[in-house]
Amino acid sequence: MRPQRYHPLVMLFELGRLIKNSAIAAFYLFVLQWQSTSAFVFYGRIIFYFIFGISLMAIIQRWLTKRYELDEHAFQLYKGLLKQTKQSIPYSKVQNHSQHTSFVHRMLHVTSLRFETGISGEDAAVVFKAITKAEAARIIERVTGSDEAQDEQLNASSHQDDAAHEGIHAPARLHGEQAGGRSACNVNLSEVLDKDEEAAPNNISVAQNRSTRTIHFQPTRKDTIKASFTSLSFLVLIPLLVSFYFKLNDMFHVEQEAEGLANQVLSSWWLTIIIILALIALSLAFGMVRTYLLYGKYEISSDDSHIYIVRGVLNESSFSIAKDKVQAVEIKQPLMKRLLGLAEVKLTSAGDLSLEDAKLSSSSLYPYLPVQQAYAMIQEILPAYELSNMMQKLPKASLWSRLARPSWIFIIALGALLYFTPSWFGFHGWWWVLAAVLLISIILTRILDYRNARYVMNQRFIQFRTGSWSTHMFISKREKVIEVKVARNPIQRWLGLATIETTNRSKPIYHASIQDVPLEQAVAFFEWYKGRAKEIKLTD
Amino acid sequence: MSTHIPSPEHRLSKDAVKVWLISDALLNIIGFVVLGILFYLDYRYDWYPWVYWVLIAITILSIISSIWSLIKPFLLYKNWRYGVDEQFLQLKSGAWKEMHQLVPMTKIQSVSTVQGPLLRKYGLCSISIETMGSSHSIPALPKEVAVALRNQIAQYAKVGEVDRL
Repeated sequence: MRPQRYHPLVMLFELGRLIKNSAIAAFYLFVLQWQSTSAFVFYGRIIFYFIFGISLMAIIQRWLTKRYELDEHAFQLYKGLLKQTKQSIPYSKVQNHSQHTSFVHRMLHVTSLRFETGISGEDAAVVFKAITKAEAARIIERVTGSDEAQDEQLNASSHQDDAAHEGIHAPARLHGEQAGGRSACNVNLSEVLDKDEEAAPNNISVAQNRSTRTIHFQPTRKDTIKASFTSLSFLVLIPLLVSFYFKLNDMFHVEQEAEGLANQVLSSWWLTIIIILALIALSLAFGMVRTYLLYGKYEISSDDSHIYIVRGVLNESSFSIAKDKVQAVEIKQPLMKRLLGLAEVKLTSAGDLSLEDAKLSSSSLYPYLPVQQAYAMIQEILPAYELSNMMQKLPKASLWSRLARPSWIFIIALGALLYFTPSWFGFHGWWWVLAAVLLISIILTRILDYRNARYVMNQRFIQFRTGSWSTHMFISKREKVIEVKVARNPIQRWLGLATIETTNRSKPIYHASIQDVPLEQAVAFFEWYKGRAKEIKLTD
Repeated sequence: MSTHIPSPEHRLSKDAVKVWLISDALLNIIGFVVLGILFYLDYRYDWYPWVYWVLIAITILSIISSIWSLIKPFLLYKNWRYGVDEQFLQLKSGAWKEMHQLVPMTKIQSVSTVQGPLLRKYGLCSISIETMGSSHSIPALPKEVAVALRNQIAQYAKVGEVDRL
């Protein structure tokens, strides 16, 4: 196959971004200063036209010169006119891929696609800003299909081990059934293959995957309502209304004109109550609609090798990661979610995870899962991960070590309070009141931190739980941990404690640590990590 | 259960202390010359009064840090240990906060020797090691040792790992 150009609509989306990026400058130069005759604005406009023109030409030039090609093992990317570069990214380096179909994409019958690699630097991702759905599917099949074929060759023996391992878990039985279904599917496909010789062998494995996908989670209406309350998204309307009001006021001087009306409204109490109730109802509805649009259509599914997350109602995104590329699993519980018994499960990947809407990192399985369901789902999706409920607590000495640590926040705050000595309502002693409150909350936080801390290392896994008000659980496999560290400060040396830290691949690099474990456990931790040499499989 | 993390056995070159002392002294001298010039300019051009106090504060901090730089090289040398075997690179350092690090050979991406003018004068080299997530360095080894170590690490780090489920 010859290298081909990207979809022409790529230019449209780049144009859209250019307009979005230059909007502020344009607004200033052409709207706010539209009558201005100053030299600054005059030359500013000229520069603006110039830069805009250059950018436009660059967009066209980029489209004309950039090409891509998919060969057996790698993306071949070509770009440049005078200085031509060719980049080759092997499929095996792809850490995860995501597909995002915005409203505009959908109207134009295209989608966008992004393959993340663990490479550092700018060209770490292969991006298709606009691409037909058929082509996207073809590329995904090519990439994930070959990835799998390669894995099967390399890990033939290790898979057997894992299978034996999984035998204990319920989901494994499920897999068995699927395997049965798969072989049936295989027969059909091979018949088809006989007729259609052109079908690439890669396609079979992907077709198999389709049929063996299990859906693990789809939110019910109850889940969505719970999510909308937990995320407090109904509060979002208030700042929106306030800012809208101020903007309106700036333009039309609502305040003066509405003063008479407002007085009338406020004078009758029932009207006031109705308006307040209406506003509350409106913001609740708004919150629910917003939550529904973000999390309403959510689907977590997996097959033997990959995990798939699909979400979004208006803007549809899907995210997929190969199970062997999951570097670690995190379970996050902020205070609000802890109170409601919910949790967020995140998968750590060595590739970048931020989608275009950075707010929602796509690697997160549904962020409002009931805790038990979250644990069960990790076991289902990643049978190779064993979650242990028998985690160890820290010894008493750890509490003293935690309390003895100097708190820089407190020292700086105390300094600032002593310097400014605030006096409100004629009382000059605020500094020590505030300092005492701060000190108590710091001590309380540290006690909670001590009480929440848990850790366990077993054969192939390590599991940390940390956090004071909100908690954070970290689980990784020994072979995925790329580095370990043990540190001891003088207090810890005196009390026979140590801080242990693991490093995992991620972007940015991920450090997980737990403070003040007993020294013998830290020694065991080092030994535990040395044991990884037995289980890793080396390349030739 | 053991209550002791076995320290790696190799130490840095003894000349390291000299190198650090000299380089710190040079830096300190440059720092104090700059400060002196600033004091003179302040006096000559009558800058704002707060500038004077800031300069005084910087001077006090510099004096403290230059005293510290007379002690630091000895502590650094005394506590630095490193060890290499086929599977791991182990580093230990720190007098106040003792640190042990364990880096698998398979995760090492690159290793190089670095030599500045001062190190060259004493025939020393430092080694810098890049992994997928971090960089480490072993400062001030005798040149032959450093080159041998670099080659050895490169040899061990040649192999990679296969991702598994």
